[in-house]
Amino acid sequence: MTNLRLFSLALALATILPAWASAGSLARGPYLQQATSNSIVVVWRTKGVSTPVLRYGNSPDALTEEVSGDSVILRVSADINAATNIPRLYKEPADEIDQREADHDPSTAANTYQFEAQVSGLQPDSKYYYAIYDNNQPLAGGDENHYFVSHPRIGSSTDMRLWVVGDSGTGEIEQAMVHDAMRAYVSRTGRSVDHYIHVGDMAYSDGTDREFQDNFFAPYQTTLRNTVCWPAMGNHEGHTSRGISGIGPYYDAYVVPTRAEAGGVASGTEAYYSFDIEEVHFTCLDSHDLDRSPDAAMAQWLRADLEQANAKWLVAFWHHPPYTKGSHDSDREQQLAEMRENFMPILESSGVDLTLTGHSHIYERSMLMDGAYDTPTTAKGVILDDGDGRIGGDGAYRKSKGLRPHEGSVSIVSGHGGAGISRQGTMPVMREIIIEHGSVILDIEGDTLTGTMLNKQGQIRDVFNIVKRGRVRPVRIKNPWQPIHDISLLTELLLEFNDVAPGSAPEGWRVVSGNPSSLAVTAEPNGENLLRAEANAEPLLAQYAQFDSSAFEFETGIRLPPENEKGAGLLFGYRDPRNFGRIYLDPAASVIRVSRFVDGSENIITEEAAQIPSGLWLKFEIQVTDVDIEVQFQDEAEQTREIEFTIGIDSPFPKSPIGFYLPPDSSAEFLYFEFQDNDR
Amino acid sequence: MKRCPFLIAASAVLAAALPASGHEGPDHVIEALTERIQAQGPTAKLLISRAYEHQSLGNWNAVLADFGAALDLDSRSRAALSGYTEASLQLGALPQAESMARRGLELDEDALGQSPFYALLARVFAEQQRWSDAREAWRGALRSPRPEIDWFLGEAECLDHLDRHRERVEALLLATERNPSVVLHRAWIHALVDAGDFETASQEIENGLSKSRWKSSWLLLRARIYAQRQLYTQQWADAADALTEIRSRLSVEHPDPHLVAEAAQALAFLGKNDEALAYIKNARDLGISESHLPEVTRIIESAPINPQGKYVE
Repeated sequence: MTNLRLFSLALALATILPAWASAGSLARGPYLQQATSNSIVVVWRTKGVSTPVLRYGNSPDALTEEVSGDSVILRVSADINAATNIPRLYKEPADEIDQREADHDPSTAANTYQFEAQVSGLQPDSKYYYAIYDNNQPLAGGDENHYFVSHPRIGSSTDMRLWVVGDSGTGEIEQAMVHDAMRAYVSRTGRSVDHYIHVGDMAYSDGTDREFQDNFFAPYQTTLRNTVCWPAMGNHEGHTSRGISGIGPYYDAYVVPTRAEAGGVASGTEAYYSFDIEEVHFTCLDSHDLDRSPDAAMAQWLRADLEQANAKWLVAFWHHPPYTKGSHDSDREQQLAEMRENFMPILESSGVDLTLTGHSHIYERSMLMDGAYDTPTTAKGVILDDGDGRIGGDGAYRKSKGLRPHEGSVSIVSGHGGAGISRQGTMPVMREIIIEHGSVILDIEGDTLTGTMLNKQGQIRDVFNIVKRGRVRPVRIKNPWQPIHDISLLTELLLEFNDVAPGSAPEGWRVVSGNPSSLAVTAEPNGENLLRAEANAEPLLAQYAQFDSSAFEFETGIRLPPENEKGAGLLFGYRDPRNFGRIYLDPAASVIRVSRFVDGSENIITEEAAQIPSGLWLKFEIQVTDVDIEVQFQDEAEQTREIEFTIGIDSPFPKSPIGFYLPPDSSAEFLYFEFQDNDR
Repeated sequence: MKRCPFLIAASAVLAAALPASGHEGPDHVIEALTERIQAQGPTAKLLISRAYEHQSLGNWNAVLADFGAALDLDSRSRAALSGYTEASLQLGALPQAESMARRGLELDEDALGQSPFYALLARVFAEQQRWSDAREAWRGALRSPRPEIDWFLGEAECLDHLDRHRERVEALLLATERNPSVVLHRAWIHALVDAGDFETASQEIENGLSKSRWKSSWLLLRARIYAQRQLYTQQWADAADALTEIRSRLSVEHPDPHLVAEAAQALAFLGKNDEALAYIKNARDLGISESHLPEVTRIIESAPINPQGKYVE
């Protein structure tokens, strides 16, 4: 991926082509990289040696131009006996082999050849069809599906559609659905995607070469063969790739500008780079493993890049979001805070319009904002337009024509491309917070940008507009609209009692059967508060209304007083006092019992032998899905055997609030409850 | 997050599935790794992974503890050694950081393997203002076939502190031949100015000015040349133009610290010393490191008395 790789292909192949060489089989691609108005790079891999040839032309039947020989850069896997000047694809360092699971080799598969055909001399804004060959043997293309479109000239009137996706590379159904939803959308709107931005975490879980193939190249091949993906490195790619050295499967996979080949200024590294398309300047940063301080090379480069950027739109993207309360918290995590504190000031003083990030598995889209660098983030004094930003709604976000400092930007967290989604709080600068899988389509046409969030079903879940026209004088809103912090919308919740006055009843709990005044917060001698529950002659069934799910993880710290030999249980799948699910700690019988109550009758699903001590804190954790229940249990002092088991269920439990169950004339204490909703 | 003061063994499934799951915030990962360590016993790999998660939360003492424990299990782990050194640096434990960096250097004899540890050693020396030692350590790091851009800048900074500006120019010129980064090119131009090579520097500055939308950094660089050539009228004009542009970009409520530092420099060139010092204090408070602050005090001390009195904007 650097000029170091340039060499004579003919000479290189001469050194490695054995006399018995047979045709290589296509192992990756073809896919497109580093497009400009007059050039593009077509990349593919073969298993086994081959003689790379790219042919292209104005129709699939007339591929009149050819790229071969010195214009194709070759890289090979480390096992191949080739000249030392031929760059090698990633091979795991020997001293790291012992540190990983045996079946998780991040290295490039043996006998792999990667070819990067450098196509030049293209006409701007022109469509070309292409095919790749092993000498004269076709490998792929030569049909209507394999084409590329050169960029319009830099500075020409903007008319583009981008696809933005993040945290997608699981290889699972959600990733495929998000991709399919995008393709269906562009099909029905009659406008294909011109450019693709991936904001990182494209190859779970470790960014190995195999994971890149299985979780990125294979699922997206139908898009990648026609559309350049401009990437930002995520932390999962960072498990095997290094921004400092530019080594690893991530850096093998991509060809991005280092010498201002596509506009911008030279970064000298593929970890961060910039490019221009039409009237839009794009800047990509490495938020993962480079120095993020305001004086370090990356920040200095950004300043130099933005000094020269003379576009009408400025879009920046990287992995770790400056503002989020999804699966990550930008108020607590260092990488996120540093991107906000050190890079947002540079971007906003240069007139950035849009920042695109991932990492946090959620969709969050801000209001028009400027100067939100404090930690924790507040909305006070930083919101310039608190409307929905929608033409036809509250109106588009308005900015002056061109790039003007501090007129506001919109921040999008698009980490919902495939990995499990969650929300642990409410980021006050956000206008839309959506916990669904999906991706973002950006349409930029002249002075208007339209952002559309599509969920995995293809439904439009958010639309906003930025219009840059005339001269706008931004005004900071003193008391802006803010999203409601509704904990029923959170997917992760930790409930403790330290903020509740001892002796009072905890909020949010509902006794659905038994004595309604049976719950009270009490103080421990060490100063910690806990919830004490006491059942009278009736069983006590209590629920916390916000723990509402049919697929969830639920954990508590529970202590049975010495006198309690009757035990306690966790309650879920509740319909009424005669129909519910229960996982019960039974000290007398020394079992953990999983049951489904139907019309008052207990149907035992399973029992596991377990010693249930009293007077000790016990950690009791359950995970319920549509098909099984997993239970984990152990006492604080680890005096008893740890219990862990999974049992299948024949039908799902209904969605309901979750809580606990106490038998008649018993009591129990709870230190905390932790809940994660997996319904979504 | 308060938790029960004990841990339970997690299933292998949980640990294996952790990275791709929906709850992969550092707290969750730390919890899962801790459970796995409890269940399977500590390994260097698990401890290192947990150290990285602590690092993402800025919990440097926990980082140090985990890397230390990892080194107890695998004394030759490069990740643990470099992580332990970094944590020591962050905590200001410089002798400890130096010792660990030197241990790292003993792991390998080749330049690629040694270079990250040389870079860490250089940072330790720079913290101690041992500029000659730091320079030598940076040279060790730069023997790597793929040196980081910051390493070139580190060496240049040492030479700056040692007032060896001609060597600094040469070092940065070599750097630009190895890496096309605009950052190295700009550092080279600054070095040219400090070395008194005004002619070459001026050509580069004019080139930069012609390409740039925002011109203040180039104007201030040119003002430095004018100052050294005692062309005060031109110096004030460039500083005034720079200040006008900077102020148009400074959001009063939420300034970009680098622009604040530039404003201080412009004010110093204009003889507005009190204002310059206030801005420099602001930039320092906003996180600009001392070595990257323009030498406002020096400018103030060396600036001539404006023959027309105080500059009027």
